[in-house]
Amino acid sequence: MLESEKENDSKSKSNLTYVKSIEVKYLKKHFKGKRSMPDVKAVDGISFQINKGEVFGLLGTNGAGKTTTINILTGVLLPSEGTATVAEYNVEKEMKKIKELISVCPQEPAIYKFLTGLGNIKFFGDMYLLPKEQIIERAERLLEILGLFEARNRLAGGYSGGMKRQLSLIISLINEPEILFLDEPTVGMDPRNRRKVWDFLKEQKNEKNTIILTTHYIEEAEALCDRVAILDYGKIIAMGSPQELITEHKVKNLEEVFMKITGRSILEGIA
Amino acid sequence: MKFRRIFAIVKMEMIRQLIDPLVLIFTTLLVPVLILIFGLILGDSYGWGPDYTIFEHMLPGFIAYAGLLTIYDVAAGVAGERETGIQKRLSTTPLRTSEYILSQMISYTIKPIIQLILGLGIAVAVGYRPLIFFGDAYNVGQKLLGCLLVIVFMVVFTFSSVGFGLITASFSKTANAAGGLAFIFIVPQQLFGSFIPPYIFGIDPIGWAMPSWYAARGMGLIFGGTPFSFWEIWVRLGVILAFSILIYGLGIFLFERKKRR
Repeated sequence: MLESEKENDSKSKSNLTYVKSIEVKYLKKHFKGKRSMPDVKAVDGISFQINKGEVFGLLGTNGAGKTTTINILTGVLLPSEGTATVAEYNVEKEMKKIKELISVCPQEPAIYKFLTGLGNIKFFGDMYLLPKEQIIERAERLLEILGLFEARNRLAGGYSGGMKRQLSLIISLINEPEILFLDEPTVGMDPRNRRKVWDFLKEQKNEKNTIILTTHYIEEAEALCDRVAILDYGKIIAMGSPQELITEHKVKNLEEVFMKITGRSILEGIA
Repeated sequence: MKFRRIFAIVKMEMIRQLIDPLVLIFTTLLVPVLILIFGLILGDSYGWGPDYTIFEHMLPGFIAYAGLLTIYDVAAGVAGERETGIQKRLSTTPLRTSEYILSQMISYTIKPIIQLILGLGIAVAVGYRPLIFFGDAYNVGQKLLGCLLVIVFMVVFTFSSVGFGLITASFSKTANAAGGLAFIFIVPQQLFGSFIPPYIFGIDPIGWAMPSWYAARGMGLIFGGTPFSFWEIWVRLGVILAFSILIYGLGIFLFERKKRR
């Protein structure tokens, strides 16, 4: 491809002209077993695609392969086999371009405890080279919405677990990403704050932004997701809109869908 | 390369160090205090030869030791960031590895330079008179050049320590483990290339494998008033530079490999 064509291609993607935000084909990730332990098939040949503007949930128990899938799509891990594209860029070859478009709210808060809440947001805003005024304006708006405004100048190390998660979520939104990855975003939050985050995420839903969410909270998936993929032992065992899955399996909710397919509860092994 | 990202990380690292003033004071003052103690005790003792006091033999090594401790700081800092998930988060942003590494180099070179200045100041206060700064044969320009050259030695040597720190961090799962593992690189350099000069005990060749040996002996030559045209100063600087590039390259390679598997 000529340089000018590449440039045009890049421009068109930043203008949101792609349709499939994410496309995963026969994706596998195997980790070599240590000593005499067998290899772990964390992701075992999954395929799915997510359209622009969708909120897509990856649902499953601990160790089902949700985080590994996200780690591959965000460039933290390389796939063992298969292909994956984000905004039509290949995750193995074009990660630099992908990183300009995405943001990740990881499972652990991943914040600097010795910086203030606002300091953390500014730091990550600098990583995206956002204009200073824009960082402040967005930060204040997000802090206000998620109820952290009063605590913005306190050291993040002194925040409660739920506040750290909320700060982490704000950080992941500071660059207003086209594709947002949320890995268990409400773990550790009390029900009131969880509800607040859900309401906020619902407001974020629009035709331009795509959200990929991993969770083991059934209500979260049902409340937020347009479609879900249920993972078990690295494989997709069911995929569709929550209502479709519930209707298809003639049950009351997604928890029962999971139970009907696997014979286990989705919350098994979760403290 | 975007300097705004580099500056943001350097600023963050400075705050990290300032947030615990006691630790900062202790780690910054360790080498100057050692210089003070040894200067007071051994400033007049000629037990290791007639030309220099024991303290004068030891001083360049003490200063190199300040750069050596950077290995611990980098290893524990980087491994700690990995432990808390921050490394992973940073790796999903547009931050480039080269920007991250350069910011680490800058952040972790500041403290050894402060230690160098403090240490030399204390050494002078207890009676040490390096010829390059106090000798009559040198004009102001040469004295300034001497200062600059000592700083260059320290900076280049500290870069090698940052590289060792990155190598250590790439093998460690936790900050605690990295802190312990760092001593694999610190102790040999401390024993064979810092404040206990190996030439005194006839084991100099062991030091030739240590970057700290070249840093300490190079700075020793400058303090002793050796003319800047003397080849050995530049060879020693060149060897540390080569060490730094090699160690750095290896550090970056291992860091990258650990980052995305």
